[in-house]
Amino acid sequence: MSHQNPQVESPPQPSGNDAIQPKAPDFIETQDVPPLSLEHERFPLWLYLLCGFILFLAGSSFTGFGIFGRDYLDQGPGGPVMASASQATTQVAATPMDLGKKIYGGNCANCHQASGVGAPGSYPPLVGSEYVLGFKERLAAILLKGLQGPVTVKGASFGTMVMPAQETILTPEKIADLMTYIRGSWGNTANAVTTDEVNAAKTKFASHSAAFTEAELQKIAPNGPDPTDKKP
Amino acid sequence: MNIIPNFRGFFWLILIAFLFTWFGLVVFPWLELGHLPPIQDEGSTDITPWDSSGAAHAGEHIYAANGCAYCHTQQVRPETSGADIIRGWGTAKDGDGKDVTRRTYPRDYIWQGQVFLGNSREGADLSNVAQRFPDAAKLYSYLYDPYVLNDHSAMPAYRFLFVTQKISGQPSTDALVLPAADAPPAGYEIVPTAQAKSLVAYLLSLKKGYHLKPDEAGIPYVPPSPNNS
Amino acid sequence: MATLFPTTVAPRGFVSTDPELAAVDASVRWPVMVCFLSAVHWMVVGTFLLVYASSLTHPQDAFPILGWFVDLSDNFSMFTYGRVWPAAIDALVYGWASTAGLGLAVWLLARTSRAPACSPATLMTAVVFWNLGVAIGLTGIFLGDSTGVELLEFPAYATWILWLAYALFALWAVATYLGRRPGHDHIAQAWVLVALFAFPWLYGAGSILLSASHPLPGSGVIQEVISAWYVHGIYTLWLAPLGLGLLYYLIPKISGISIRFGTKAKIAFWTWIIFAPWTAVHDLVGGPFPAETVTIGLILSGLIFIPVALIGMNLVSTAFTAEEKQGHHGGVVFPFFVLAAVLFVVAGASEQILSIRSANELLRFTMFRECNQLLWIYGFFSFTVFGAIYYIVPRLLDFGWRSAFLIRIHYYLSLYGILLVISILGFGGVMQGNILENTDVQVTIVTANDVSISYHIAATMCISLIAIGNGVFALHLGWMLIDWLRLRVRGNRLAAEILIEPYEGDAPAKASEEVAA
Repeated sequence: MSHQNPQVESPPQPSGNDAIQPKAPDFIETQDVPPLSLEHERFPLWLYLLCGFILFLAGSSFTGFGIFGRDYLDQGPGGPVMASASQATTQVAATPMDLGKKIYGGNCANCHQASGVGAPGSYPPLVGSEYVLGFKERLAAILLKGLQGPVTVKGASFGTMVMPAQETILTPEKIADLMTYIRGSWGNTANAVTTDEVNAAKTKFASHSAAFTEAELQKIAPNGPDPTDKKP
Repeated sequence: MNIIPNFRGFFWLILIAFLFTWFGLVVFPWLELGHLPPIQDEGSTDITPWDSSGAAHAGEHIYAANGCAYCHTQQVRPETSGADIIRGWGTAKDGDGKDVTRRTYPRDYIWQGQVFLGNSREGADLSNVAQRFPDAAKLYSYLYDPYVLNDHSAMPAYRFLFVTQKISGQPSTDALVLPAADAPPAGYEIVPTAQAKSLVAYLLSLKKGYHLKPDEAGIPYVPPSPNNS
Repeated sequence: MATLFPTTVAPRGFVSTDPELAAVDASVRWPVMVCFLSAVHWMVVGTFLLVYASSLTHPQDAFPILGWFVDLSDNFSMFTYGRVWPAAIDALVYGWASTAGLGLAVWLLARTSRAPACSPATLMTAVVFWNLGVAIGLTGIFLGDSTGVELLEFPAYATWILWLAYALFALWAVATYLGRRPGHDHIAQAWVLVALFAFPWLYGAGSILLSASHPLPGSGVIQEVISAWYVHGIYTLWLAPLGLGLLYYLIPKISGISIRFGTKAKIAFWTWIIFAPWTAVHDLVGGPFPAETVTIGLILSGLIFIPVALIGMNLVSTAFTAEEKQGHHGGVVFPFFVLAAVLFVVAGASEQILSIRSANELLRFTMFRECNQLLWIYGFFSFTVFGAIYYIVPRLLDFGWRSAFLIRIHYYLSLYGILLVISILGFGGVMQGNILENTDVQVTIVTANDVSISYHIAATMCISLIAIGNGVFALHLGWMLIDWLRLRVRGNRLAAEILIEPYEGDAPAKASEEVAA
């Protein structure tokens, strides 16, 4: 009598007709193929050309190879090929405007923005500002000692941020160049500032250590152009 | 063709290949730059580089744990290699206000417990951040709301480093000054936690405003002889 | 454990036709399956974290649902970008890639040794500990104990667990290799052994020298040098050899064509090991490091085109020949290997680009670096592992995948996703670099942010595409396992009924007495 169990089911077939079958092309295992072919194939020409080209590019890294010893740090042959990359290394800025622009970019643009518009409520704009275009002594006071508390510029109020003093960060020469730059950029057309004028302001305010407030600045000079000043 | 004719030979070859990289990449630089002493600034009694306070060292842990190094670098490359100096990241002043704008040197990092040179610049380089932000209040408000400085900022806000608390009696001297959009409700103030204070102390220690000899990489300090000065 | 799943059900035919290899597959079945399953789990976790992290790179332009992610990240320390990003990368490298890599290494070593593996229990313990270490490490990062060192962010209390797991695994690997059947050496063995030697060296030196609790005093910039050596060592000496070993093994097996230019395979192997780790200097160019180390490093990593070209000719030409000759476009798994081989060459090309000094200075701190990382983890290695899982799992379980259509969807979503991500991040890196290295003083980091944000948004969308593909894969794997379990359960019942039923129709009472005894 053969063994029969009417309750035995055949094992479930793979569901759907999309299921992967053992004989699918990717699942057949070819046992007897040697893993590495030993026949000598020649490399195609384009491969040699490509590798030659890469070697040529890689050669740009060979500069500085002769520099040994711990006195020399990685310098690089020069930056990426930008139009004025070579000028960057000489850094010869001829005019006060150029110097002032550089100082502005490094010290002021973070807050007052590269376009001089500042930020509402926090940083007053320098474009058309009565403090920038007005008396130079007052502007020098702001730069030397800083400004705190609310201030009204072009009818809008600013006061949440304190402007830090630049006296310990910039030499009088640099402050003069910076003042020249902001007074002559973005449509501002006030005249330049000399180092002597900044030094005079520095002497005058030497005893004033804290940042200036708006009231104190208004006492130094009122709004409006300086009548004694030369035209730009 | 047998790639491993002899296991022992294979092992030794691999070892030599690894040692080649290890010695070239790790050991030799370590011998050159791993033991840099501080030097005395010429003409002053400063020891350079400037060391920082304990709070600043504690701030290194906060900087590490919150992954600041994934967006900020702390290395300034020379003028011949990138535009870092032009971006103003190397700008620093010494104690007399004289300009010391330069690249960063290995000796700049010897006092730092953990060094975060960084590999990505989504944000500005921080080697001289204390030069640009000498004011702790500004740093606190920036950490609380990066939009204060730059409304295009991708920097996350770190509000969890601050606590909004009810003003009891006098407002705290630590309370943040924030623009109106971020200001707490009336009667409340936002104060930094100890973590925030350490982090800001660390950031305020990041300036390289001291003189190092140009091109120097690790020259040991030689005291000036009595004849020169 | 074997008794829980008896093999009384008739085999479906996926097991290797070579009985020796079939026995090998059976002996490593459970360790490799657990490796793959846990790897897929970490892949899901890591991919989700990567999408989240990528969405945080453009917070002010977050899509409405992602705006909720941004609020989370602002207010809760666990979700800040600086913790989510390293958690994502570590989950993908140590959870997904390394765990799957261990599974591949086990299977390859066992197969090429042609002997049933000894002590699967050791392997299972190793895998369990490895997963435990990864889980604890990721939790540590979220809780604020990240070390802040790239790819070594796991805190010390997780590191030692990974160490223990690896030690167990290494013991097994050495025993298996030394117990191999001689005369069947395969180049895949060489690749796997390199990876197994490299990892303890890398991880040991990296975790000990760079862990936050034992900083090297006064070492300064050397920490950065060691970190660069570690990161690029992981990509070139741990992940790449494991993937290449699998490709060298499976491409000939599936296609039936020997690896072309096979005489060059040995040179490719040794030149890769010597030149590739020097890609570490790509993270050191222009920085406060010795000039000679950087220059020598750039020269040596500039020569990486030699092994990449040779390996490319080996794998890519063989794969394309197979596609032409045998029309494998009808196959669903082989395209993964083809793409993996192609992406290896692309990853090698990106390393070559970074070894050119001027390009490096432009791209060093940009999203191009992220492109390079994703090429290694998501591009080359992930496609290798996907193909491997699709190929190996049916052999281990003797059960087929449920749907070729789902495999194709996974393939195309991942293909388009990775190609788009690489293009976006690569091109975005060039754009970002152009701004960062612009010599105009007026240009600031803000300008660079404005340019790069669009690329970040596009990258998030494409990473989401990859995530959907990976989700399809994970669901398909789950579906297959459930079907397989159902088969086993019914098979058990079938086996039990066969045992209880009398063979010759004897009195049932006697048979049940025997069984009950």
